[in-house]
Amino acid sequence: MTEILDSRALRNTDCYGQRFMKPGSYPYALVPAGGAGASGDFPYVVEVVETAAKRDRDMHQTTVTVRFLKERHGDCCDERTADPGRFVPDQERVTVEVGDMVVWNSPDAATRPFAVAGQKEFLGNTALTNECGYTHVFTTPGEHEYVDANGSGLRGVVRVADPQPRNTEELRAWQSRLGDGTLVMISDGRPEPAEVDILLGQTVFFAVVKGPGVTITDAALVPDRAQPVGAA
Amino acid sequence: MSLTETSEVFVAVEESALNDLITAVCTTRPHLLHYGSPAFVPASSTSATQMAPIPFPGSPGLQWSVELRIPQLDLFKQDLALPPELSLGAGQFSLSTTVRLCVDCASRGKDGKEEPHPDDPKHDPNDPNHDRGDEPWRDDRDDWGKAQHPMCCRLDVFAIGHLVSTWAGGQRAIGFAVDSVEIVDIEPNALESVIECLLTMVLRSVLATLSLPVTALELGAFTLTPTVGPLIDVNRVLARGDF
Amino acid sequence: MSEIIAAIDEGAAQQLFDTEVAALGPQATSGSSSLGPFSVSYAVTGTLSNGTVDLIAPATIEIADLRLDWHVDLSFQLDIGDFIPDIHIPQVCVHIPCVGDVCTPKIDIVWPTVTVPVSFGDFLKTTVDLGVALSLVAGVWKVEGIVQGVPSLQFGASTAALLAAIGLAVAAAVAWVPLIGPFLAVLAGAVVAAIGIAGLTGLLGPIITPFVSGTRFPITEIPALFEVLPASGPFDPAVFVTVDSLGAEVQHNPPEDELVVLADIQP
Repeated sequence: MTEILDSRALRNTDCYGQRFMKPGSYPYALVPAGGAGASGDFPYVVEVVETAAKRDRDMHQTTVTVRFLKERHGDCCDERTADPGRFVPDQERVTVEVGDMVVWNSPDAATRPFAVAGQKEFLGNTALTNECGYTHVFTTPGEHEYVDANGSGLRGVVRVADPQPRNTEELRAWQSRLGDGTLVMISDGRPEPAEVDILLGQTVFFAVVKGPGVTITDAALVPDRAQPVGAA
Repeated sequence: MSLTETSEVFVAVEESALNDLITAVCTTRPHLLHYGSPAFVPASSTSATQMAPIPFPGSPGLQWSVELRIPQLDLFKQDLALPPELSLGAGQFSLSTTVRLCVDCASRGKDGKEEPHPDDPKHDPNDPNHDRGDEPWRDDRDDWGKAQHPMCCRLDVFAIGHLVSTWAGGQRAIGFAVDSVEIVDIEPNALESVIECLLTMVLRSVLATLSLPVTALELGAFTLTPTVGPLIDVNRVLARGDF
Repeated sequence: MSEIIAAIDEGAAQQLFDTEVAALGPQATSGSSSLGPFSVSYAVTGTLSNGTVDLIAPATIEIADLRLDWHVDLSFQLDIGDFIPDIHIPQVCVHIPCVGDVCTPKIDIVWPTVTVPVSFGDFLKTTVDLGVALSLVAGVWKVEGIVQGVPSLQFGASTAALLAAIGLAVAAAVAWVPLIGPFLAVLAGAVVAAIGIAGLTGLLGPIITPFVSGTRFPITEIPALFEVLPASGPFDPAVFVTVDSLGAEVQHNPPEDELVVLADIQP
């Protein structure tokens, strides 16, 4: 359970969000991260409708909770089965309006990392393209350098400070700040700001406005792309 | 008074245990007490030790045997009766045993005359003059182990001796040395002296082969390197030494 | 009156026990027990070193300052949630220009259960009374000194040091746990407090005491069929005597106390 910063593999401290700008039906699958991806089977759907009367309304957000289910044999689950189980959303079909955002998250720390794989290429967290985002709660102090595993040259740093509370009061003070989020806007492979400082336990929102399909990946996981920030 | 005194280890063996040890040795290895020439001991074995006949001119050798009963030791102070000629002093032991001496009078014919061998052409049992007395003794080595005319006597023997330090099987051991021997009631005195001298030599030789490792005295209970003794205390053998 | 008497004085007894205690070598055992509120599995080794031998008539051998070097490897499961409350990351919202507010759901960080390994060693000294015991087993007379009763082992400063070691071990074991940093000192302190001196002695006493209590120190062994002379040739078979009876005791023979072995034999 050491901290892994990688938008391609969603854990309980991560969210993937996608804004839908056009009406239509967007099938998708929930697959193990790093797996072979969807095998042509997209059992879940985001239905996007347009309501003319509310064209100027504020963006709404719908959160899909993902859980991992073991196959059941008889009265109980059998982890020895060849089928390791599957990811399922709390709602197989969600209906949103144009301009709304759907956010996927799994609350279970024990759940293995998963990925959203859409039938349409833009939908999915393996390559963040347009009007989407990835959030991550940083749970270990230190300097976290991230890059784009797909090779766009995206590079940034999140510095996480350990609050080191010396008493209950300081501990509470730290906990009261866990609701503070930090936004990093990414456009065309450039993060803004490229370096941010947060406290342990705080969340960073990586919002991708547009781009070639990037990832937010700990540089240590992409050894050949690890370079100091600011290098040419 | 402590047992160890100024030493670290003390061992004492009562005379009954000493006799048990000697009995065990002599029972297991009886050849230590039984010696004889081929007419009496056809071959060396656990039971007896074969030795050469006594060479003598004109004879194939005098056949003999000596056999001792397991000796009984009495450590100072005296518990067993001794002939008046012997007295048991401090540090000494007395030894009593019975010696059986045998010779083979095989060449002695009837009436005490020498008889030629039956295969000898001169042999004529009906001729009263055939025994001229100058015929050589027959070499009866083919009949070893079969003394033809053994003559034996038993003598009660008493001796006085002392312990000596020796080695047995690479270990420190105690041995037994004879100081004097007495045989009761042999006349004339000169014969008694001769026999006593003979038996003194026999006993010394026999006892030279009889020794007891120091470890046996204390059954290996503790490792003892003697610095005092083994010596005869009152009715026991004791030793003291380093651990 | 015994036929054979072998005795050693206190100095020799000291040498004897120096040798015999050293010959015992390391002893080891393992199992499971309780460490305060925790169930622990342990593997413990102990090595004795002789102390000062005092012979006390009629049948006691006292060893003062008998030293036991011990080492214990502990392992216990620590459910962090038992000591610090679960932490909740509240809903976090940011405003994205031209888009609006985006929020994450609340996230509950549930503390995991971790395995805490602890490795620690120390030594202690104690005084034990050995009783002189005699037995005839498989044709061998055995004279042994057997620790009487259950000595009360004093762990002293060991407990404080071991508690400190447990605190460090907890910190090392949970270092990987996300978000544990701010709670590390609290957690280690809470675990150590939960165990306490009583918890430690409650563990160490029962698992280490057996290295001392009931320990049998060989004094001497004598075959019931004792070989006086080894076989030395075809006509000289080995000579044996039978050890009929054996005894062992401590005698006070002024000015000394002596360890005495008594035996009777027959050919």
